[in-house]
Amino acid sequence: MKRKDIAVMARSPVISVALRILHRFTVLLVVGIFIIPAVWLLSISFKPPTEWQVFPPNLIPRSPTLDNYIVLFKPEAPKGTAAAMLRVTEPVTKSFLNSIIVVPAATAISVTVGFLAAYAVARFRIGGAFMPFFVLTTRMFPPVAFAVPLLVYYRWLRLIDTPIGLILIYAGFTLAFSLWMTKGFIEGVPRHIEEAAILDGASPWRVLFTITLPIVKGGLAATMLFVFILNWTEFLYALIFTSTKTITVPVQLSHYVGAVGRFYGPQAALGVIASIPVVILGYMIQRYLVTGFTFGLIRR
Amino acid sequence: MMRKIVVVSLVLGFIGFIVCAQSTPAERALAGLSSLMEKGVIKPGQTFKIMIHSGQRNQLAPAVEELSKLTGLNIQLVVIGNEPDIYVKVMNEAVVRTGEYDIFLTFCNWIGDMAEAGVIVPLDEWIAKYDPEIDHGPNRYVSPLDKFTTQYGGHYYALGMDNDALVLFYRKDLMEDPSEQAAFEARYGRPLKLPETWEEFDLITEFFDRPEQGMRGAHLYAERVFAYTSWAPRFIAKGGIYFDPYTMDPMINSPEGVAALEEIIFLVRNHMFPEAYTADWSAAYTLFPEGKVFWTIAWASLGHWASDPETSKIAGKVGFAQLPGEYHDGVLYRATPHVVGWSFSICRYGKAPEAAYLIAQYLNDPTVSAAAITRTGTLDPFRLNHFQDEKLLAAYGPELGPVLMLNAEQSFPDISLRGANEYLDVLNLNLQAAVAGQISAKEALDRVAIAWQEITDRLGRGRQIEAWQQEIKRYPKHIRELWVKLGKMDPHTAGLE
Amino acid sequence: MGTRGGALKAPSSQKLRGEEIMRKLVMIFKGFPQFLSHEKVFKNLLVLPMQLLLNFLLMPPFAIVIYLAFVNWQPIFGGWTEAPFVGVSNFIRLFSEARFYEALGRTLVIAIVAVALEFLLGLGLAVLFSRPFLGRRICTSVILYPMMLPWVVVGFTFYLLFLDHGPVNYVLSSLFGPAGMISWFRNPVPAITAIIIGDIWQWTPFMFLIFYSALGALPKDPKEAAMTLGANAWQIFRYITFPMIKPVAYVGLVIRALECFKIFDLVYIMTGGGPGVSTETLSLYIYRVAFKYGQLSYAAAVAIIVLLGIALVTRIAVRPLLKEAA
Repeated sequence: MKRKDIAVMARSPVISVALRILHRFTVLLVVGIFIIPAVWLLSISFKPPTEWQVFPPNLIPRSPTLDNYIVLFKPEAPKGTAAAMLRVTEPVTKSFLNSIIVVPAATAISVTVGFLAAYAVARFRIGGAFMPFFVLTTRMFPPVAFAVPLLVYYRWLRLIDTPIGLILIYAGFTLAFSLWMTKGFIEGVPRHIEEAAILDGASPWRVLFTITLPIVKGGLAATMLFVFILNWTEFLYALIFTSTKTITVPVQLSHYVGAVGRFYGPQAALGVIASIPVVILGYMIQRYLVTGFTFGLIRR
Repeated sequence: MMRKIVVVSLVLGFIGFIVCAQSTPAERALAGLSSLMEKGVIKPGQTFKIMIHSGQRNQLAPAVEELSKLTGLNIQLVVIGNEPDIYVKVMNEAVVRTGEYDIFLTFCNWIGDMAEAGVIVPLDEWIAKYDPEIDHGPNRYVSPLDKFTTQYGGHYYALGMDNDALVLFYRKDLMEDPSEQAAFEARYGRPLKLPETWEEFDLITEFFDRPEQGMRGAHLYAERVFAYTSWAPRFIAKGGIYFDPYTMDPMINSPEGVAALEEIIFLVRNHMFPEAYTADWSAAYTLFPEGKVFWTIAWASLGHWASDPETSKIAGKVGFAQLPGEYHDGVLYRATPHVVGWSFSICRYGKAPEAAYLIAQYLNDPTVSAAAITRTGTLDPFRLNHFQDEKLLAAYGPELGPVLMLNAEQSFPDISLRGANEYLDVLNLNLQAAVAGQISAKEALDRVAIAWQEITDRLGRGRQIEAWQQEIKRYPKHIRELWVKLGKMDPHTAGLE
Repeated sequence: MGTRGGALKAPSSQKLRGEEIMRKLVMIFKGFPQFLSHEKVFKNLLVLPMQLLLNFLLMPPFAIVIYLAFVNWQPIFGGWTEAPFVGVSNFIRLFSEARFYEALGRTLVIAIVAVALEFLLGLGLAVLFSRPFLGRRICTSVILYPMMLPWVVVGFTFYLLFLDHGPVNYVLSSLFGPAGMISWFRNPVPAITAIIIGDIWQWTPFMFLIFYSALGALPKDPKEAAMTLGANAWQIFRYITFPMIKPVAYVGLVIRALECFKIFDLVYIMTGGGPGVSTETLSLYIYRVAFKYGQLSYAAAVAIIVLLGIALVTRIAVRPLLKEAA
């Protein structure tokens, strides 16, 4: 268990330095442990098929290859027996394009709609105790059992294999997160700040957007990141509700399977590449995650 | 002048006769497609989509491109990665009927479910009209594949495109090594040779089990998805049958079934890596080419993989053999499981099913399919001419060809009834549980029997009995004769008279 | 506007009407923001998009689910609209199905253990990272990484790691000799342990993210005030910090628990539910019943019962969140 508070309290400078070193060491240890499976994944992505399940395992590939990455974009390019086997699907560009269109749109809709509703719920208790809970139940239902009924409905709406169709599904199914996560952050904002602004004559809209929103920026960023990740990595509904036009990256990833089983190399390579946009997004939002504030700034 | 006309007409007539008599399924398909186009049933540039598994794309893509050029149609391959997902998508199509797909390439034992769900159309009429040469002619399918990759309930529903009879792959260098042979004979009192019975198989496995050298005796499938492929050949060779032919009562917990399972459990416990039941089926493609096991039973594609120096440490040392069987009254009965096996079926809700059928027939043509199968992928040779095709045999290994054919001739199908997936999944999970030591062999098979009864009742026993009796007739002749000999059924039910 | 005498009435009657309309429009226009700011309108407008989306998207299919649960239908029987009504027999079948209860119990164990550990680890990590240090952003990115991978990839990464002849066993055998190797997928206990480890790796970042952003949004004043009063680190954490992040922490816990209960990919890829069904979770059971066996009616019944069960438990657990005024 790693419940450590930091050495801000230490009075003595010696203990302060020692604690700081301990802190850095713990951080490095934790980061090191966390990174191991990811490093293994990266290692697989540079290995030829004969090394994917070999024992004793080697971290550095014995015959490193870029084929796993190349085959994602140019299936015909790699040569050789092993490589010929990897020619199983079309290039990944289309699926990336689809993911880049569908996921941000769905995330934006989900977080916006959820945030607005969360404010109403948090401040005005609209829907009482029932409505927010009801929204949460959308996450309690096993998605598998919902797939075919939703498919039937979508057939009637003619939304199968369309970007709009997938966007709506992703937005709808992540609304519960958006609502509840932002609700939690909104409730962390002291009410008297908002009340002070109202007393000063601001409309509720202004309070929402100019007072509350900046304070919960971090929470919104975290919610947006999480919803983005859920949508970006979602597989089951992407598989069922698309056929050729709108397949996303996770579905494309499932294509790398063939005569000798799952192609770990290309799947690892695509997994790594697919995570890059998310990593960039995560890095960018970190700025928002640590804006503390003091009452002093708000007080007039 | 008159003589010239007579000669020319004779020659033309002769040529015409030759062309017609020797036209191929591909040519007939092309002729059919252009006739449909003339009638306006299909238009140039019309799109047809074939749902396939990713493992076949490399094989079919060039043929599909060629056909698109020849006909002016736009034929596309739609790839699905996980095989169970193909079943899901086909069944979803049965419900929502989008007409998105025209042709499905699926496991042949799903044909029952797909036909019952109404999502595929019977092909009897078109097969009679266009003749894809399934069961006659010099290029026909290897028998009995012609029956169980194409039919359900007495009708044709599919064109088989694959041969998934398993093959026994072994270390030829060790098997033929004189010092090994001497040691074996000294130990067991009989010569070391390819096994005819499973008992011999088990002995040889024990002999070559050398954990201290890092090599185990065998790798057989005992995992979550394919455990039944190790159990079933022993069960059938002993004279077992899945269901009673008259009442549909499960008979897998008969003494033959229990004995077969106990043999497997013993082998896994003592002479195999635990990967046999903890890893997925691709473990065979790692363990055997690494030289970590003496022999394994797997799909033909392993042959290529294990013989290529690029992918295998034992290239050049690989031998191919028939699966063993059992003796009954001095006669050897071998049985090989035919596991999976891909076949084309035609979607009812496509815009032009007849045209879709012709596309499938073209791809199924002896020459076109030979070229396709020569390329790397999951489809394996299934027509007689494939086994004479030099390029194809070179790709598989010339020695693999004849063995594969023999195994195919002795192969029996997966359960192909309605609810096939249910029956097989329940069987498989209990087999794996028994191998893992959670329950005894008898207990496991008893549970399967109970579960199977429930499934049969739920699906309607009468119809299952009918379908099962049809399926029995698709088993190879020698197995049916064995069943009659052992008194399991009368010759008429076995289709022997 | 006042009148300008009768002499101007005739030509300006039009003008007057125009002015009337203009006046009314201006009033509406000026009043519109007030209208919108009226509390009732405001709060309902905020909630409207969500209600539209959910009702439009989810209600009709849910009606179909309920319909399916009361009929006997599989795709191999024919059309779903012609299925025979069978009352509650799907539910009765469910209540006597041992496989369902076993899956349920197993899933509960996995969820409780995994979520508890993720909660503690996430909190600890967030506290560890709460003060700026050199390279914090990069380290945070590393910690967040596992949740950004497609789930299939996490699944097979851990499958390969825990193979009998995989890296984990290699490390174990180097440390403890060959006897130290564990056959992870051979029995349910080590298999579930491996699965939980995979889940912890994949989803601790979520709890970390929640706590990290919650801690980051805290006002500094109360802490500084307490410091000047002489409180030590632990007291500040326990009495000041933790209560302030409680609402967010609790939400994160509930959300994570709900999701973990539906764990699927890791199990499917690592063991397929095996050996036998000894690692089959609830989601995997429903998936198999629905998509492999094709029993969509029965699956609908199972799903409804699962929904009711989870809803009941969550309702009780979530009550403090619903009551708490900010």
